[in-house]
Amino acid sequence: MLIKTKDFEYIEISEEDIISFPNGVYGFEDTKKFVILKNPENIWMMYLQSAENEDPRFILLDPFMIFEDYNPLLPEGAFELLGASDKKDLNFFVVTVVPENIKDMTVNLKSPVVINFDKKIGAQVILENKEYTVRTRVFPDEGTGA
Amino acid sequence: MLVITRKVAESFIIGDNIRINILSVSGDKIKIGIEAPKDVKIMRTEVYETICNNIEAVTTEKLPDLELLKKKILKK
Repeated sequence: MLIKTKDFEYIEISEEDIISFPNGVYGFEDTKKFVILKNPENIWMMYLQSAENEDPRFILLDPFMIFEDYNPLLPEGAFELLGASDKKDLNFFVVTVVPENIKDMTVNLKSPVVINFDKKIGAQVILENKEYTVRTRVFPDEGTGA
Repeated sequence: MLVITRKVAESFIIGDNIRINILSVSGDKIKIGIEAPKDVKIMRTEVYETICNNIEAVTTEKLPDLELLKKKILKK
C-alpha cells in the first residue's frame, strides 16, 4: 500500500510494516497505526510516521546511543499493553524536538516510544523514573541555553 | 507558590467550583480526589508536558544535526 509521508512524499509499505498503537500517542490518541522509516545515513535516527496521514510524524532517536546509562522503568500495565514479558522484548526510542538552533535540541526521556517489534505493538509510555524530564538537552554544553 | 498543609480527609477549594480532597497517604503516595466541572481539564503534569512536547515535535521540520550527534556518540 502507498502512504503519504511528511518527509518523503509517497512510500510503498506492506501491511507487515504497520505497528499498531492501541492508545495512539499523547496528544494524538486517534492515530493508531504507525510505520518506522529508517534513515539510511544514520542508524540512530528514525521517523515514526502515521500510516494513515501525513501527520503526525515524529523524529526518534535511540536513547541508549546518547545516554548510555538510560534505564527506563516501565509503569504498571505497560508490559501487558505491549504484549511483552521482559524489557528485552522491547525497543525504546525518544521523541526529539529540534528548534531553530539545532544545538538546543531536546529529547523526551520521560515518555519514550516503546515498541514490541515481534508483536508489532507500540505505545508512548510515561516512565516511573523521577530523574528523567520531557525536555532533556542533547548537547548541554553547547547552544544558546535558551 | 502557595503552600497549604492538610490532613487526610481534609480538603481545600480552588475558585468557586473546584474542590480538592486528600483521601489517603501511604508512604510517598498521596491519593487525591478532585471535584471539578466537566470542562476543566485535569491531567498529570507529565502527561500535559508530553502532549505539549509532542505537538511541538510533529511540527519540527529541521532534522537533528547528524555530525554533532556523531561527535557526541563517538566521544564515548
